[in-house]
Amino acid sequence: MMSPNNNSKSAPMEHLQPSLSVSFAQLSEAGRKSENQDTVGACFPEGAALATKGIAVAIADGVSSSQSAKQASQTAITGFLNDYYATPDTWRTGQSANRVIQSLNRYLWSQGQNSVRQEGFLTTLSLLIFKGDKMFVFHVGDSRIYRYRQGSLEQITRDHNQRIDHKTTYLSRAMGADLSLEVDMQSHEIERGDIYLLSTDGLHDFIDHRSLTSHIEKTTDLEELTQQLYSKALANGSEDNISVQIARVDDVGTPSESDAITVLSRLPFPPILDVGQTLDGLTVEKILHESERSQVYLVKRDDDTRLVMKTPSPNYVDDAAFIERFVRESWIGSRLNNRQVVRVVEPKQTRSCLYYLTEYIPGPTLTQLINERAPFAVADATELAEQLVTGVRALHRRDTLHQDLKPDNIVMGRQGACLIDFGSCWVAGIEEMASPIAGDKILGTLDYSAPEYRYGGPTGPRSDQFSLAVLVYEMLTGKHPYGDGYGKAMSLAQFQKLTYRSALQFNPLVPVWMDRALEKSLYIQPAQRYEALSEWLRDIKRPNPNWLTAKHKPLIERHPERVWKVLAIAGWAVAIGLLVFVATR
Amino acid sequence: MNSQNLNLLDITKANIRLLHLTWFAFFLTFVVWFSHAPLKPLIMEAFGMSIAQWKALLILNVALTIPARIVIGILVDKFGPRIVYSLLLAAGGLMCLAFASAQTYEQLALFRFLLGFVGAGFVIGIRLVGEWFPARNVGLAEGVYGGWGNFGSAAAAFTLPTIALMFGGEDGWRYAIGTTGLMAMAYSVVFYLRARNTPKGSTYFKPKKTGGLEVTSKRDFYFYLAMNLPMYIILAVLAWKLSPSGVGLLSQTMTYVMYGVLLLLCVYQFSQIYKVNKEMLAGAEVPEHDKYKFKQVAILDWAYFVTFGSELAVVSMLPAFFLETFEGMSLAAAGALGAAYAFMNLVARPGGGYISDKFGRRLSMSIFIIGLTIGYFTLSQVTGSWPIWMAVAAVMFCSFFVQAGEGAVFAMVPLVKRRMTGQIAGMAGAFGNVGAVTFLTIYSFVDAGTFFMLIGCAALLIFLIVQFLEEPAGHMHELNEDGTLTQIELT
Repeated sequence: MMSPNNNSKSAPMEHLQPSLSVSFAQLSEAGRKSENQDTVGACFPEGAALATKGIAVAIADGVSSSQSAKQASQTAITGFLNDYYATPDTWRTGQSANRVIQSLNRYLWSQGQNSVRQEGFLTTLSLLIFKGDKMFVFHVGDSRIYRYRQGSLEQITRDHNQRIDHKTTYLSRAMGADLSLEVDMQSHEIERGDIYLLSTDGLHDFIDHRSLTSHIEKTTDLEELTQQLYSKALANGSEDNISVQIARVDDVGTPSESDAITVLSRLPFPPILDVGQTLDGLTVEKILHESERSQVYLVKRDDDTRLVMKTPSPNYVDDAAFIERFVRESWIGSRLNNRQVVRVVEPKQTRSCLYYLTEYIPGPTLTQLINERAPFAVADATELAEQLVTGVRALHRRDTLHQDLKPDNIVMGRQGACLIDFGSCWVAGIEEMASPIAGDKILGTLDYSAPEYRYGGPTGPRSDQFSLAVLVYEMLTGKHPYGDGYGKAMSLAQFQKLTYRSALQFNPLVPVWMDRALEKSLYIQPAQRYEALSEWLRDIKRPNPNWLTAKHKPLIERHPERVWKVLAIAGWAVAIGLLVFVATR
Repeated sequence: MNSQNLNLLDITKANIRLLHLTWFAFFLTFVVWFSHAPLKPLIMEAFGMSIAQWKALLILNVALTIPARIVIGILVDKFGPRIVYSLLLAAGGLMCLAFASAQTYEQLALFRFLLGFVGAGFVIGIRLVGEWFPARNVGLAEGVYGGWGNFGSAAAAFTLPTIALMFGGEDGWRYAIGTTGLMAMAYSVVFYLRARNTPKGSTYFKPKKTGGLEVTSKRDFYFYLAMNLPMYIILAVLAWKLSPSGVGLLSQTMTYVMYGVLLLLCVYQFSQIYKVNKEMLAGAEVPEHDKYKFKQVAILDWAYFVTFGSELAVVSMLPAFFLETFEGMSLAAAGALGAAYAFMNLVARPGGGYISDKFGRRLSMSIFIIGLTIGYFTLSQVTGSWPIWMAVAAVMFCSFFVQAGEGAVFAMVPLVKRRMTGQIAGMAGAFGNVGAVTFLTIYSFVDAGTFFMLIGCAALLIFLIVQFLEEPAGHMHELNEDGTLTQIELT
């Protein structure tokens, strides 16, 4: 058994550790063949990785017509187990596994292409990941995964075989066969007592369904069961390599709320601190900010480094959802490494209570800057937009939505604009883990958060795009693009009544194309916004050729006073003309 | 341990500005709510009322407040404090104008009854101030809000008789009361324009569970149900008081309808309470950290019953008491002396919270209640032969302990169960109003001396109840000499 190389433990995540427990046995033998081209592998991590990544079990059958079958199956298994546990913790399981499988596929394919002997590196791959109270299946080829639950055995994967005639079948899908690969993915809830069986064709082609079921029913010792199945397949005349893996779920990893809180509440809340007080070797120098939800202090460490300490407000000392979010906040920050995102600092001393530290960025917040300097010069706003996009993209790459982009959460440091708050972040990988603590639904700040948060539409990276655009608009004009009505709207119908107010109205120096780019990213319907932040940034920085002139508007709307002046003059001219006409007659 | 610095003059800070805006809104609701008390002789003369009718008016004024608190709580949850406070002020102002222009006793009674709604303003501001202040000084900020706002009744007693005499004539009192209504309406606009639900950039979180309070054992569940009964009983007594067997404001049929409505409300509330606690009653395990004793809540409720309840009752009758006890006193002087009672609010309420933080909950609460018992027994002895300054001193002595007791109750409310602070505070507040209705009902049967005596007796009883109060789990941390913190293990 292997262990992943990045089995990093992270104390704040402790409470999410499920009590998932799986017993396991595996066997892989050459059988009647001279070489074993099958590979089996499994990884049972401990600590945080068990919660974020889960237990992975994988089986691969090198395709025997290829000379490098053994190498291919080994590459697939070791490659997967190493790379999967190295993916960012914040990625969804499906996303992590799929990306790893795709890159292995490309690697095997290119190995085949470059092979001097012109042989393919082909292998089947079936794998199973247990995580929390779920399991995820990824499958390519004709190895199988069975589930035994309450007396019945079910094959949950579909063989990727193409039948040519009644005697011949060919493998229709395999790793390394082509550049593009479709992986079958499934996810199911697991139950206590479930038995999962992974096998290669050397086994399941020679033991029929019924006797497989009866073996599983009779034998409880998993090691013994693998041996029995091996001998049975051999006795039934299997000519191929024989491999089997059996996993039994002994405990489902749903942490009950009271467990989660017991662990959480182990760290008490720090008291309200005053300037000069010391906690864990950190001396409070200044109270930077206090709100109804948290306190933020400037602290000095023993080595004279200045840091920022954020502590939860005692108002929430028994609110599990709040504590959970607070803990998650520090964890999200510690996974990011970007100039435009504040760095979370691990304390030197063990924490005696719940708080977290970040680097201290001396500088004004964007709020202060807007109050002092708005409207910004277009070039300055563009530069800030670019920095913000860099920071937000770093989050998005980790499958994290910021959800609360607002001027108070942005500090202007030496490196430019820097995001400082992760309190509302949504992390795909985390939401997937079973966490029984219900959270508040409304996150983010009304004026800056995208409309879909309030009317309940699907949210995604485009919601952050909306907030970014509101920020840029505010920098340029000091106003909100939809006016005061935006903060009050709650339903889709109310939002659709709002109209975008062109930035040119408030700041004539804003180029038309920039205003159009802002308008597009500020559409009420997320689908109408930019697909990616990079596109938006491009349109903010450089004129989009389609948008060089002002939108076509009737003359009377563009220059109402000129229209009326001309009409008035014309009226007078007609009147005078008539007068002259009458007078001369 | 924690320095509670709150510079009330620093109006460059948005939350200090909001605090001033909010306490003044509460102040005005109190002015409007108790605008009738100091004008008793003028109003009685204008309508040729009997004493019984006047006393019924006093009870009506505080009766609707009990259910109104619940309604206002729901509205604040739904629409946010800013708009609700503005509307309450505007509506209060309108009703005040209607009261001022009433032509019959029935109209007068109806509008006094409706004005009881204004008394529920307290709840709104508590929520609003809570949104704006960090944990460090929210207690003090709410003390200022509550104390300075309650001072409104003193301001009314102090100024309204003078204003009424300034307008002069037999309608002077109408103009005086009408002025307060206009002020409230004007301020409602100011409040709407200036106040915001949250500091800029924060979200207004709706509380998750409203309705019944969660309790954590079966015994507490029945205890809780029983604690809700006094509200219905006292309202039923009020309905009886208004029936033909009392002052005859309601017909016999209407009285029966009232009983029916109260019964329905009671059943509805009990079902809500059951809903919230269904799982616990079905035997679901309550996690250890979530357990609390409902007893604590009940004791605070009774403490508030005798403190805030007696304050509302006394404030309603004190100006008239001075006028009638001391011969030859002018209306304005009686009003001013009556104001002495609520005057103490400015310091006593925040002070009570501070003392309670400092010297232990049960001890300070016991002292406050004994103090107010002595105070009320003293007041019961006041006669026309006393020098006026001594009577005023007795009033101020008594009110200091009453209001310090109120402060102490609210200082302890968040410590019972942090998560349910709002609901526990709401229940205590409701008991304050129940106290007011109870004491005023007693007042309608007896003379002032006996009235004070009976409040004193109730206070003695509650002193015994307070002895069952448990000190909440103490401070988690202690500060060492050198400025470092020591953690004290909590279980």
